[in-house]
Amino acid sequence: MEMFLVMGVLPIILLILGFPIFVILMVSSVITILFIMDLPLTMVQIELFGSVDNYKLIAVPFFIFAGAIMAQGGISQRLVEWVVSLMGAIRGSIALTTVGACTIFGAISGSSPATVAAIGGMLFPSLREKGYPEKFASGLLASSGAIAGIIPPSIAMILYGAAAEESVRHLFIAGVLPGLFIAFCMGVYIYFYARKRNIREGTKFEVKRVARTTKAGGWALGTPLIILGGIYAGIFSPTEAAGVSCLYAVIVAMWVYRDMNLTGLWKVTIESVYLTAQVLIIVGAATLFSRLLTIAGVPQEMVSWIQNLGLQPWMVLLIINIFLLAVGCVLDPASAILVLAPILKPVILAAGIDPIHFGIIMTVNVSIGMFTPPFGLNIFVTQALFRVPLSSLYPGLVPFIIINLIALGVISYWPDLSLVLVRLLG
Amino acid sequence: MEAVRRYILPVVRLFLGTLLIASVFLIVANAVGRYVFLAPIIWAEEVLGYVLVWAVYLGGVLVTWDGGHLKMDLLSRTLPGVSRTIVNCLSVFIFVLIGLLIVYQSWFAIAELTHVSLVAEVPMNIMHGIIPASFVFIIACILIRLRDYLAGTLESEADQVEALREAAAASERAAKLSGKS
Repeated sequence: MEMFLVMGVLPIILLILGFPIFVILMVSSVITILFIMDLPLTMVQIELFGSVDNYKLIAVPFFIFAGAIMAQGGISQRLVEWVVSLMGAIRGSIALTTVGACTIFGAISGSSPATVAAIGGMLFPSLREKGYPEKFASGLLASSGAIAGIIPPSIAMILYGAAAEESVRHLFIAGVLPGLFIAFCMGVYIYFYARKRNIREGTKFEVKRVARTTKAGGWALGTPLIILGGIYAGIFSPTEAAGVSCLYAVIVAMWVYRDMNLTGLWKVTIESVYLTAQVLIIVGAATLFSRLLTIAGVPQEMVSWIQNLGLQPWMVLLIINIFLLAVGCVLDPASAILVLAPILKPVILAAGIDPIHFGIIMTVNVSIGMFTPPFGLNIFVTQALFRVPLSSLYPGLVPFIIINLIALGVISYWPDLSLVLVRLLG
Repeated sequence: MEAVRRYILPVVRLFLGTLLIASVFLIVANAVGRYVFLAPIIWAEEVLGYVLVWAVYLGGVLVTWDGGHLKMDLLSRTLPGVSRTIVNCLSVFIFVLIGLLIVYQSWFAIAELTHVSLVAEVPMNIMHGIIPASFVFIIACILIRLRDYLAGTLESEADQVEALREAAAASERAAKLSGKS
């Protein structure tokens, strides 16, 4: 009972009161160590150090750094121009370009709000100009940005790999088809929406234009090729690929596109270190928190509870999905994954669910949480960037939430969609 | 406060920025060494792990200075004046208490660390020492900016969104300017 109050109820109260997540996890852990479990206090130091000293996590600052350089080094503009040249002739082309550009940008950045800001800044005015209603355009942008969190390289997947002790390379391979599947589902909806509303904004497909934009954007498109190609071909580990992509990004931004100078590079460097600390300082506290839950036998109790209920694996997945969606609505993806992955892993293993497949399910869940009311960060980014009232934005999100939930259902109950590439390339 | 802003924070930023850039070179050199010269840098992985620990906890000082720790404050921001101040006071008190506790327990944990790391042979007490050192700075940051912390006038999720909006507006202005030229 005491344990439930300190590790279950107290964190929720402090979260609602707006305490920093790092502090919340530390408070609950320290109270448990001192007053409930009678463990040596020095385990705090060991966990704070040992959890961050993790080779997999080194990829996080590198991917943040590479994404920031590319975002500010003129890449997003060239990507949009390239996707427009490819999709210009299709009905709903500007909306489809939004999804396409967010998907490709996600293969570089991995940050959902940054993708909304980078791509949305360019495409929101065009969407409105071509006749898309405000609620559709804003809902589309807030939800498309979330694809960046699913398409590898994904920071959420790195954190899952570190927390659940699974291969980040396998997670990156497994995330490709589900990410593209979500983009495809959104694309189908957009096509029929544009057809129903008779929106005709397309331009003629011109090979010359495609060639010109491909030439201009070729260097930018090289980044996902280096990152994903290097990892999938087994040339680099995800951490090395992240490091190499940083160097490539610097060369492209500073010497090829000439959109960034040394001052800009230094600014981006400091921003990247700041973001890294902001996200990864939670790792130490979350690891300590979940370690205490493990010592207390909470995951084992959950396993035996579920086994006693006699639930089928599909029921276990359904319950976990509903739980994760609820958590994703109020908690940021990093905290949710770091705390819950080690606790849920024994449960899904007992239910016979592949942990790599589960990593993708978890990533999709927390990414959906980025644009579900009331606290999805993408909602507030979209609201602030484009001055869209929530009364318009919330209804605009509904169809995209439904599409993503359908896609989540397919991803959850069709493991081959995630695992087929792992079997082929793993 | 001005002295911290002018002298200490820039030094921390310089150190952390250099660490990140050096890490990029180290990991690329390791990959190149392995494939081109068949001679990987064997201590690279170990050292990069320690660099990350230093970057995260020392970076925590910058985050604390700005009040930028991740939190869900959209609800608590709607609290009326007095209640909000009480919550902020409680939050600061617990944050400082946790910081002091981390420094205290680190002292005993580090005292037992007399060995060096396996490959790079770096003294482990120095590597671990960054955690209490950073938390001393973190507590100092909170106390120096106590008034802002209590008033809740530091950066928050809402401020980050506002910063993104300003950045987008600036890039829009820059795009217009380059279009005109």
